[in-house]
Amino acid sequence: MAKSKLRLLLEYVEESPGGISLQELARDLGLSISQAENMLEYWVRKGHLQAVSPAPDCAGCASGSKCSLLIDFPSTYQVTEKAKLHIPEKRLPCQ
Amino acid sequence: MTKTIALAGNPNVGKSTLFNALTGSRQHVGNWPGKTVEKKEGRLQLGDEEVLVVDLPGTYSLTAYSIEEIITRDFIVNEKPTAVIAVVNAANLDRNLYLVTQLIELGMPVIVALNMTDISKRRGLHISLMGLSERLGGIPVVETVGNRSEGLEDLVQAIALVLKYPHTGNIQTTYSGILGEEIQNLKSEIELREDLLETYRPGWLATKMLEGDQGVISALESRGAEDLLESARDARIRIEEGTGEDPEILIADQRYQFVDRIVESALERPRETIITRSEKVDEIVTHRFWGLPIFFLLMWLVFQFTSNVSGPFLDWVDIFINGFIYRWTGWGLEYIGLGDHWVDSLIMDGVIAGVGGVLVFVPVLLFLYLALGVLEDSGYMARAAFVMDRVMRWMGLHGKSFLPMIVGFGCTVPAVYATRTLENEKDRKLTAFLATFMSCGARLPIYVVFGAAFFGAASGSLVFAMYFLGIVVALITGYVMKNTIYRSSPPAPFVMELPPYRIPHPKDIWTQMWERTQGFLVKSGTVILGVSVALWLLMAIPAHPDKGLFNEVQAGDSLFGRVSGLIAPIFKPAGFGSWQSTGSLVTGILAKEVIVSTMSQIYAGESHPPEVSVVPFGEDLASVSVDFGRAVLLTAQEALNIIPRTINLIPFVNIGELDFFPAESRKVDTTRLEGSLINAYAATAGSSAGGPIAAVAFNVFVLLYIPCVSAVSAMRQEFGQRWMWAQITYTLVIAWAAAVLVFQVGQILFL
Repeated sequence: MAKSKLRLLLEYVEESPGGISLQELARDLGLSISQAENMLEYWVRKGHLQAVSPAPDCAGCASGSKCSLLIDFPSTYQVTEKAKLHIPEKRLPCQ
Repeated sequence: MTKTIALAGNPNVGKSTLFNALTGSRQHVGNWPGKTVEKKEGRLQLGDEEVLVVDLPGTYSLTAYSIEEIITRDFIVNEKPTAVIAVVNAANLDRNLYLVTQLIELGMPVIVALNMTDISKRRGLHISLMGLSERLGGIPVVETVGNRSEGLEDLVQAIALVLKYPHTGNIQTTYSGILGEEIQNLKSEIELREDLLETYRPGWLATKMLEGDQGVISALESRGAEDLLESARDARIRIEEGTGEDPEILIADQRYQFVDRIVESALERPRETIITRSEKVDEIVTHRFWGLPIFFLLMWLVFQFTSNVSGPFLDWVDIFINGFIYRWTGWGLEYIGLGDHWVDSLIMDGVIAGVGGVLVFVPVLLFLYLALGVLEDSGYMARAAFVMDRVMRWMGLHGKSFLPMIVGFGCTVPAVYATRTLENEKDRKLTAFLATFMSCGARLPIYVVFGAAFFGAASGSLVFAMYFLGIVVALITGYVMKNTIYRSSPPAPFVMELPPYRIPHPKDIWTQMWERTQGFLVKSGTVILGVSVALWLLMAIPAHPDKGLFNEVQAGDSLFGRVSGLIAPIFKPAGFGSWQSTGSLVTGILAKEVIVSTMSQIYAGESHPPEVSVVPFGEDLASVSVDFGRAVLLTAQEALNIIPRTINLIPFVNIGELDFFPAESRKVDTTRLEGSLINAYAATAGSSAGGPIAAVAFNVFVLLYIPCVSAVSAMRQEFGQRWMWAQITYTLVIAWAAAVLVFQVGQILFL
């Protein structure tokens, strides 16, 4: 059975323990970067991926988000615990 | 009856800006019933007619995963507005059209406001309005730039037209295979239920039932549509058995493909070639093996640039503060009769030596932030984060750890707070623990002053070595702790978004340089000033009445000198067991920059003669200006010399360097402090050859020992007192052990 592109994308991310860039992911799955990004967002909404905010929470620091020492970092999507339980339950016809 | 227009769209697409532009001040802000989500309503005057405009919460789709999605969907399905304006970010058409197709499928007259077209055009994206409208079933598509109120008139005209002649886009996502068949079957069943057709479009309802949308299922249950729900349940089972996939995922997947086809025909992306070039560069700089050496090579270049290129300006600021300012302040104090007063000593040896000693390093920071700004603005820093993140995960550290740790290169305080992004308490503690080993910006002046004093043109290598060592100690500590006391599940895989490379923008870089340096200047005027005054007082008070009067005592016999002297023997095995070094390390706990200001104060007392200017003011100022010009030329020379120095790293290659001012560039005593350090470290190390080894050991200790009080207090606040003490103890032990190791091994190898 052919897998959906969404599923392939999630599995590809899960099988990249060293991390992968969005560009690599899109290229390897034959998607445009925005397509890959949209599909990642889908899994974020489903709770299988987590979008890691690039801005740290500096609430306790007097400078807060205006801290001059902070550097901008790229967004990251990270696999959550829920993703490991993604395989749909197979139901028998008699059930 | 008042007609209603709803504004829908993804978050951050300029929906609220358009809402404000359409309604002006005629707004009412409240909450959605029973929800804490803000509800904004306003009035739009269309000729004689007044239309109610409702700003719906930002959402990416009309599923039921978030409160915003449910509010938007329920409003459109149940309240049935006369039309919906779908606000779309033209720069990210794919993502936004996912929601638009769902809105159209709901059966509403939809107008697409293609917003942010200024950004999309800048990125070279060309969207065919006609083509897009056609592919969306003939609905109006209007270009807008909300924050400039551009296209507003066209939008208002489109609204007026749609209100007069409501037109629903006639599109339906094409679902193929068994999914398409089951949707069709369900749709046929729904079409027989006239009670449902008043509220729902059959195609949309069929997909929602197959998705297992709880909101829709509950609504159907309350309408007694059990038979329909049973059919949907059976259909779901058949789809799962036939495809091995959850129907909801299949529906989303095919909807993405449908959106892709629309985008393909309506959008031209002429910059694909640039992306491809970026990708080619990325293949090298983010390579699994080459990525890390390239990162370290670039960092080495950054520190070469920072230390050497800033050197001439550092000298100039030193001449300006410790020469010109020092001379004329002294003259001024003498002129008003305070020449021999303790106030003279406070200002000259306390404030100018302390604060001035740190301000000398402003050029170093400016050049560091210039180099980092160029790397950041070009898009490389994102790649560096990616490469480092990979290494950290390989060492077993949590993926999100990379952020606090890299923030730690700036300042440990935000790095400790940045650990809040980690959910697991163990990971948080471990990351904060390791972030303290990332060399913060405040330590940089210390490496620079020691590098310039002991290693001359190779001072950048000392700075680089310190940063590198910090990363290595953090990774080793992390690896050991992760496999012992902080054992937890392996890190999760991740995807990182890498922005395309671009040519750095000078204005953005200057803003970054200035903002970051400003923080240092503020600290100099507050914390360092306070510490300098307190330190002057401690150095003016004799440890014993026999040793002299207030402000007349030798620094070594002062309260500060004696107390520091009691601790100093601990550092004897590390080669810097003097009261001066020890005292600087103690005050450095307040803020790391204070180490330099303390040393400046200590050694200023030993080296500064009570100097009063003898040359006329104008002549002195002219001399400072000439020195500035020379600093500019020498800076250019140092910048160009980075090329031969980098090439000379290749074994057996030796290219000559430029030398505009041979005598100047070869001088060892770049600042007054540096000359004193060379003598002091040669004395504690036991020989002049041992001085540089003791200096490196001192720098290693500075890198690894307790972070400043602000960072320690942040740790106490976040993790408690016990953990804070564990951190302090560990950093002191490891710093001492590493410093002793460096000095002892260094002596064996080099002496």
